[in-house]
Amino acid sequence: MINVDKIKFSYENMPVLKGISLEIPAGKVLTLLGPNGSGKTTLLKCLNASLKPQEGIVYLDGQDIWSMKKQELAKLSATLYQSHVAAFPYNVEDIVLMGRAPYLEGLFALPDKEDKKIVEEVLEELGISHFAQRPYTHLSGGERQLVLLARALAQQPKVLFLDEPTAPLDFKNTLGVLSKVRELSKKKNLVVIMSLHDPNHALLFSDLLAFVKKGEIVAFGQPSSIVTPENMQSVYNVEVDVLSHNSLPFIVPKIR
Amino acid sequence: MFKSKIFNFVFFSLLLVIVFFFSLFLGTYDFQPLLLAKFLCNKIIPGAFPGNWPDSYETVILNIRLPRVLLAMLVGAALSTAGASFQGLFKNPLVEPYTLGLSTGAGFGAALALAFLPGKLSVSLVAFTFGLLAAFLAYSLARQKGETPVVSLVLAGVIVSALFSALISLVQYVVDPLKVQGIVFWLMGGLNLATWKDIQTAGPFIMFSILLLILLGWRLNILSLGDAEAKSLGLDVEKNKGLIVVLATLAASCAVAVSGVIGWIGLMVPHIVRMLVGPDHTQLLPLSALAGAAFLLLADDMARTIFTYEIPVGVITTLLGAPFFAYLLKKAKGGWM
Amino acid sequence: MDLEVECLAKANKLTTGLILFLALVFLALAFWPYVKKEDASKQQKEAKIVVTDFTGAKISLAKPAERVVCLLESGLTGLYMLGAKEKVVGVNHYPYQSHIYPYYKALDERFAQKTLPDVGEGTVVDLEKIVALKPDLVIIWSGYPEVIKTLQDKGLNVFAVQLDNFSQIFTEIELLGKLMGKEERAQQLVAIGKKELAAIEKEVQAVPEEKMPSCYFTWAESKLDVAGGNSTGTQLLKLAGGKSVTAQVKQEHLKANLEQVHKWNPDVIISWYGPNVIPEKFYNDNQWSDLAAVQKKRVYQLPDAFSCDLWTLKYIYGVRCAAKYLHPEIFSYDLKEEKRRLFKALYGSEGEKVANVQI
Repeated sequence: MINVDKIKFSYENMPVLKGISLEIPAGKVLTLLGPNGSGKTTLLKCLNASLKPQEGIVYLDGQDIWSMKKQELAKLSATLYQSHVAAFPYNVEDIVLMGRAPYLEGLFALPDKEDKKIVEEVLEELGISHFAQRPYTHLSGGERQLVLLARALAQQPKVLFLDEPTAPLDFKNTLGVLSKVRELSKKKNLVVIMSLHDPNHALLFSDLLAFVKKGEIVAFGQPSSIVTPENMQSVYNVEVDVLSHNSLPFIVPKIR
Repeated sequence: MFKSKIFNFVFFSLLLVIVFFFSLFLGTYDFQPLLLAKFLCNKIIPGAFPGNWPDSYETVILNIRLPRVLLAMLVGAALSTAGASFQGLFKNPLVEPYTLGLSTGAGFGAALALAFLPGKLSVSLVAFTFGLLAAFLAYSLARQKGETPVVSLVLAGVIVSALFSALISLVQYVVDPLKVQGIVFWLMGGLNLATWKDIQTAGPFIMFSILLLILLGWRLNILSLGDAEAKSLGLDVEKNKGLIVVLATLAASCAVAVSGVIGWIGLMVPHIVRMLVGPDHTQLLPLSALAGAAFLLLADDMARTIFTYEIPVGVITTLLGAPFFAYLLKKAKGGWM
Repeated sequence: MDLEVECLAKANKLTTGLILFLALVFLALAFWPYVKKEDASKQQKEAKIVVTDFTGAKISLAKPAERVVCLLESGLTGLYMLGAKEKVVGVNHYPYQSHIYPYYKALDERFAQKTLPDVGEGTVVDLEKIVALKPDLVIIWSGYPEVIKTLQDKGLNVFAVQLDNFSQIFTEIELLGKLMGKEERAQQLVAIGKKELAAIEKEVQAVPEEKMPSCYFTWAESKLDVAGGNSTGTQLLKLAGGKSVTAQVKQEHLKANLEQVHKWNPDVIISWYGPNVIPEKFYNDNQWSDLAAVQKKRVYQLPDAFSCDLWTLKYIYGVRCAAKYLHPEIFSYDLKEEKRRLFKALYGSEGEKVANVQI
């Protein structure tokens, strides 16, 4: 579904991505793990076409993302950004409705009944229908994140990018959002690519995992097989123990 | 109260109609209400309600008061819609249509015309040209690698404003002070010299811009999310931003060209309307236009009747605007949401 | 709420189309001149009096003006000199200001009673008030082109004044005389003015150049707001027999710096009426104490803005004052007497009363 072919990216002569290739099938959740500055966010931005790599191609559903019109791309790929600055108190409904933008043809086009129906369904799916008329700025961090997720889903994408989606969330909300994302991925056959900072969350909610270190992918595959103390030491320079509980792996750092 | 879109439109439209008729009957010239009503009917349906009104009804109502009232509505609507558009684009409810340096640019144009070519070249035309020039300059200045981040736009506006402000001072200094006394009045803003010609030159462009901006309301919603998010929703951000900036600047420039610099309307009215009906621009833009028209009309009514002599309407809007804003600031307690 | 959504959804496409259509209609209107121009030929038919004003515009009247709204105080005073007092039906705000008002109170009972309508000042004039007065002539300064255009648009005759030098004052009096039907009186005033100037000139010409004191003229804003070569202030000094240090300066108005003034070291300084430039301000400022004019106590100020108004024939009184300051031995008259004499000649019967007004 997503095919990344040797992409390289530099910020003003400073190389950040040094040749990355990936292949991710539909219906899978891929988590990118790595320390700050490893290039996770840059990679995401190259994949969702915010940044253009100097070398290499990204294929989405067989199409080169840079050869597509932006509007067409937005029907395939949706992004949930790490920081969202709310400028105005739009209703939840209106925010989610904005996700239908890629499907409106014409300079003056307005959303129609169909669009409104899709919005209703998405709100229902995420369990936030009762917020529909509320200004989204009056919601808590976690609820707001769900609204933005709803907007991304309203785009009916085939790929969902999430850049540190749990950063503004508390403990419970983090688990809620991540499990929802995984559920949706299965249900709608979405590819989800997200970057997380907590390896344990990655272990709980991903189908695939990639370790990013200094602009390269140093390990890729099933979480249980690549999350090893050796990899953790190599990527994070931290000593850990990998334990198992209820046949689920989790990481405990060695603290003296 | 303002939850229903239909109610909102009806409310603001009705408000404007009432204020319009109220303003038409208000003024220093004495009218007999019944006779005046007959006169108006006669004008609309020729031949109906004959009566003997003095000739001056024709001149004063049709030739002085009506163009003034209409111009107030056009300018008020233009400034409010432009203000609302800029506030949406800049993601900031504290922005004015003059943020890109439009008013100082236009002021400089007017100063030039008054100082060097009085009577030869239309002050309005030169002011309009320089207003556009200033805005264009600010926009180009803010452009980096094909993008115009909001902070850059605001800063560029500050720079361009300062530049033209200094140029205005220079003109005032170098030229005989008597010649550019007119510029002081011009900068205060006034509708008292309204003619049908002003309506003809500025009106169509103002209406054109306002109507198109209204149609772009939903796009403005998306743009107000920020460049990155708008792009990820498939919008060509630069083209849309450019289009809206052009239309809003056109409307505001026309307004400034025919009425001088009238401040605070473009800031206050969209803000008040947004507090009442919410930030959805498909509603906000048309309602701001209606509210702005009514608002400036009322301000102009005050400008011509509060004292026995006329005061520039820009003074009224500022005297009302500043304390009102202070009140809003206190009430919002730091949070606009 | 749902019904509303339904209605709105259907209405959306229709509304969008409608609005777009309207927008295009307005754009088209921009290029179609739907405002008709006034039928100018009507006015020119029985034009008995045709005058060209200072902007080159033609004013045509069928007969001398009977109702004048005067928005220029210097023009107003001209009308009073011409004996056309009763024809004035409206004025601007300036004559009602404190330092001019006493003079007009003496000139015209209506000012004292405040029954002469004040229609505003500058560009902030009340159009309705002006039109309601039904004037057949409006006099205005040419520096307000927007106002002129608007007044003309309302069908009023507008006479615009722009005075760049003293000789144009005579032209203005003649033109106003023609418009008001007071041509004979206008000729009289011109003759009086020219006679006065000739008298002063005769005395001044007899003074050899070395004996002419060096001097400069300063405006009321500050001690350093100096009148340049072309300015009326400098012209005044020249007529009064002074050698202006700025005679060769191209600028009309310059902000001199103190060092420059010291370099000039004028014998005499003459200032316009205003609190910032009274002679004491010069004498008490220690930065000026070593200048010749200050040491010899030869800093003078013109009496007031009305009596020496450089935009009217009264500038001649200004010349007389300056002449006395510059050459007290030659011009030994009493300035108060001169004022009375001149004002009697210019204003007629009320002249003496006006001259006696104290500001």
